[in-house]
Amino acid sequence: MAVDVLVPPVGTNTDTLVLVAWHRREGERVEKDEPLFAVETDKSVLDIEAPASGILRNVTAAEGDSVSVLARVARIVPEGESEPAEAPESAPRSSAPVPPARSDAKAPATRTPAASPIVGPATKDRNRIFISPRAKTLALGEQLPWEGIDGSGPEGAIVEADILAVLEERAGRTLVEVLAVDARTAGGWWSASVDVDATRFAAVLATWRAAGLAIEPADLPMALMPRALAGAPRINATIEGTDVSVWREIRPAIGVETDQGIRWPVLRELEGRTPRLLAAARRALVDEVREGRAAPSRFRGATIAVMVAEPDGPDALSPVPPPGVGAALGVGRVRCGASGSPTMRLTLVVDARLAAVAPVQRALGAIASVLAEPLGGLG
Amino acid sequence: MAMMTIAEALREGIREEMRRDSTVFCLGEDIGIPGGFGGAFTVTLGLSDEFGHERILDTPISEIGIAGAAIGAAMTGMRPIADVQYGDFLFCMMDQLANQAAKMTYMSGGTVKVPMVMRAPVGSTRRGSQHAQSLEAFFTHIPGLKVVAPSTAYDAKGLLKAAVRDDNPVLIFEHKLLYGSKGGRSEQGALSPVGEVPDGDYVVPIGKGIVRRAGKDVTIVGKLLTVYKALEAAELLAAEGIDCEVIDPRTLVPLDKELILESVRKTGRLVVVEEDNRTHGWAAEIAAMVAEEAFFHLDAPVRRVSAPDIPPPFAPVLEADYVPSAARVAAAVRSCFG
Repeated sequence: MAVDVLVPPVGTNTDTLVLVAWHRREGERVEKDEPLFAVETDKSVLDIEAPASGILRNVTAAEGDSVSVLARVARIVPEGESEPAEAPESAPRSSAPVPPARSDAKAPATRTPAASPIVGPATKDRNRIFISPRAKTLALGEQLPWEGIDGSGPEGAIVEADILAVLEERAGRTLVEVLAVDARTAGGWWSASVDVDATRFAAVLATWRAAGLAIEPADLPMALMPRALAGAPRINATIEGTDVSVWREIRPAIGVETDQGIRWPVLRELEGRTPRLLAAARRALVDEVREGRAAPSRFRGATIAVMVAEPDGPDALSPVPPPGVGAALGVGRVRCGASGSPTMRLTLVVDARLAAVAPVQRALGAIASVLAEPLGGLG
Repeated sequence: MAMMTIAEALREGIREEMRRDSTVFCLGEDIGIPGGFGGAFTVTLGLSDEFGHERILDTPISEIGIAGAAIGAAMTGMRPIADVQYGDFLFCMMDQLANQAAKMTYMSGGTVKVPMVMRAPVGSTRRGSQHAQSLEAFFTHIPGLKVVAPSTAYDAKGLLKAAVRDDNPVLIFEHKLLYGSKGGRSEQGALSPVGEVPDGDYVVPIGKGIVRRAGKDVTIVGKLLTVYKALEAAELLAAEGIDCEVIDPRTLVPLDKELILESVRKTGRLVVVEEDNRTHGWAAEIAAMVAEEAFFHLDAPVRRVSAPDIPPPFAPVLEADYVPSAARVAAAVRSCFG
């Protein structure tokens, strides 16, 4: 009868150990009580003795693997006896226990009842996918199937970071270039402002509203973002330490005033959406944030920040971008300018690590020309 | 603003409450005897000079007597602050605490209040099994008792004042390695944190926890000494790129659940550290609460770091293994990552 080789409990507080070495290989003969494998605890390396004599079979843990206490790492099959045909690697925890056959009622149990159903991480069933609740919630929300994603979490489970990595890739957020920045120049912001003739901007809004579209002033700059940033691609960037990453896809964090201050949820899939759908998506996101329902993932992945004043808001906004984001665009309310025509003030605040003054001014000019002529980009 | 140890801050809080309210008095073993230590850990040292032996009342060595006198006085209009030399001795007064004090307000339909404070030192400090247990979690399982566990001098004074003014029985658990007791009562291996304590009146509300260290990757919840073990582990882990948030609930009953839940919703990972025994313990309750109320925010299994299910050992080498160390906390945190 085959005997299970289990990881013994070592100490009172250790649940997992590292199997550092096998002293016998699969198929080799082992003698009861001879050192069979070694495990490392936080204090020492211990040799574990073979529980029986026979041939070492079904080795499931490799050297260097983490193994759970009481997990089965191999079996010892008596010499001459073939490997057990069933060799259940480890019953999935969810499967129903097999009731004992009635005809066997008198036969003594030959395996420790406690040992057989225990599934350790190291012997986990390759057919089962483990995913953390947090990762699953995110994947479901993004309609992302998680089969085939490599898990990097405990026990090989798929965790949030794995899903986020796939989402990044799927969204085609292609890295255009990485610039190394001298750390000595880090810190501080450049900002530039310009007044833009908002006659056409206001006219477009009025036309759409007259047509019954639920569109607010804040929606138009979002819809215009791809075109506006086409003339200023370098400010669609993130900064980590001294690394600047310029991105092709545009993902604006939108400034939302809440009781806890300004929050920066991220509007995804900007390009290719109609202004109406974009407005609906923005409204849903803002509601989620204001009602405190927004998941942490909603605040990740921004490449630029945009904040637009409410119709009764300030004439000018100079938002500081959220951490890691290189630039923020502030759009003041549409007001009556000096010339008597509608005007709005645009302010671009850029991390000093990202660009010098002149490029900031050029970028602002490019953005301003698009906001002044909105239909050019939507026709 | 003065810098104080926890023992000094408690003394200051008691002094101010006794000056403010003539119904407040202290009772306990050797808390005011001339030439004594001022209780087992110097908290009441010198108070009898100001308030006399009527209000700093030395009792016989009888915990059941202390509890009975304190509860009876509280029911009849006084606000006693009772002192046990070691938290372990609370077990001597279980009927009075659990069956009388905790239930009186409920059973009288709210007509009888028991505004009693009971202070009890806890923690394993090389004194063997009967002078070492961490019983704060044990008493969270008795409805009707409020349980507080200050880990800084500021909180010690503020929570003591809140406890004195509360109309319910409040148990204050104080860790022997945090007191900063001096002279003959100083403890080997003590941390004795010294902190700023404002002069005069302030209250730390019962039921409000605090973030001791902000972080984004994992939430560590600790209390009393294990707050410091968690902070030490957080420093170790910061060097490895793991950013820990450390939460000190300060009050165990009622618990500031929202603070813990909010943190776990952010970090997705939870490690609870306690000096209490593991099974059916406080960490288990925090873990269950998070599993029920923030399950879909979890990115890793919840981990507990506790004392094993044995009485605190006397042998120093065994005791060192019994009390959760920063290394054990760090190992538990690492296991939350792949």
